[in-house]
Amino acid sequence: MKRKLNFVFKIKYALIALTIIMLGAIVLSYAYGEGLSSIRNTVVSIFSPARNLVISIRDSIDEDKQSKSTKEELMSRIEALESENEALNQKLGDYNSDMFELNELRDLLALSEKYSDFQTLGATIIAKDTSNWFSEFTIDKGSEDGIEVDMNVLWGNGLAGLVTEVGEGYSIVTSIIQDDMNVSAVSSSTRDTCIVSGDLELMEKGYVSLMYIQNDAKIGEYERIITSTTSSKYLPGILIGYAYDIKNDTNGLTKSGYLIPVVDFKHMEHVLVVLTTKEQMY
Amino acid sequence: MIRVVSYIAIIFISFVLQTSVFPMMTFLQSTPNIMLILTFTFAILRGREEGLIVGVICGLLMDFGSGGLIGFYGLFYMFVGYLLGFLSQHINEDTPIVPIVLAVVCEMLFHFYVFMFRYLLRGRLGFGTYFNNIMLAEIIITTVLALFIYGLLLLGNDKLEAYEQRSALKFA
Repeated sequence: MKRKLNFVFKIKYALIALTIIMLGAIVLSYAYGEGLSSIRNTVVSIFSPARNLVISIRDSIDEDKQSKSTKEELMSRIEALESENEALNQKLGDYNSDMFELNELRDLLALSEKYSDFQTLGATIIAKDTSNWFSEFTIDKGSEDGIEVDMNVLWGNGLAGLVTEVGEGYSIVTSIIQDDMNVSAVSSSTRDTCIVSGDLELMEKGYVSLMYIQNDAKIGEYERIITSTTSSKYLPGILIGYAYDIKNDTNGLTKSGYLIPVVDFKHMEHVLVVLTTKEQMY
Repeated sequence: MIRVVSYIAIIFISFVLQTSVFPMMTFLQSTPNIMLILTFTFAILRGREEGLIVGVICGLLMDFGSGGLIGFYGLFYMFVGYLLGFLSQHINEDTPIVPIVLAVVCEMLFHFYVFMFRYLLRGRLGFGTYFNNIMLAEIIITTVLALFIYGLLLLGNDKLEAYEQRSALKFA
């Protein structure tokens, strides 16, 4: 009986000690976000080889699927692609003339092509967040590839997120659609400022909320929304998405609505990391 | 010794499954919370001491795998493992109703914990939408998976216990 009592006390002490340690860790990681990242680094890098293996298996399965399509399917696909190619060629001609004009106008304005030629690095997503409440993902490139905290992450030509943790061989990226993420943005034609804010309630519909638009702003339906120059972390001029259903707020001072992001957050597998942070730009 | 090694292997494989393999299957709508299944299974099968240890490890892995606060999930998983460990001697662990009930209850508690501290405190009140969009799918898939994992671990545990008894007899 006495021995059993002893045992109960021992595990109770362990519980109390661990509770205090956990609470301390929560406070520490809240106050100094990067103080505990070396521990995280060692733990997560243990899993990196297994995760990379999983990804390579997936890729080989994908390749198998592709190589098994029949000849007819391939022929019809070639035809479709050829007709698409023609249409695109025609478009390219139009674009080239537009581009020529644009370059001339840019020269007149003495704007160098400051934003269009950032160096980027391709990365593969090797893991998603551990719970369904948040929209973080882990990529297979880390500090040794030159990735730093606050670098912007792109998918296609749209903004996908921000690097929030960097370790050896991996980094954790927080998507812009996560509930507590905010991006200061402008409309591409009228330069009206607004805030793009992630919202879990809207995520299922594929929207993000678009807030704090000035009452007199002229943001039209499906207007392109890009990152603002005033943002402290996001590089300027990156496409975020298209404005949708903008209405006056009840306070009469601002407008708000939705934004349809250009990034397909559910199905992205490879992303581009911009190797310049906003801080280094200036 | 075999027990420790197999625990580490189980937790390792489960973590890779939860963070890398299941998220690939986009048709599933949601990823199951395997770490939670492991925590309550070990607590029920082995008591509060091992429940506590497995809970701490699984919870901290959840923390390390996300970019959030460290210790946030760890605290919750630790208490789940410890408190459910008290039940281990009063439950007949051989019925399939045990993992079903435990998975549903633990998942509800887990979601409520996350909602309370990470959403409600920031003034996000849409519990109904969160329930429909996030919780329900995860609860269902976790419960289904819990049946399999619980059964497998129960079998493995019986084998291990038999082995341990045999080797103890040999030495005696």
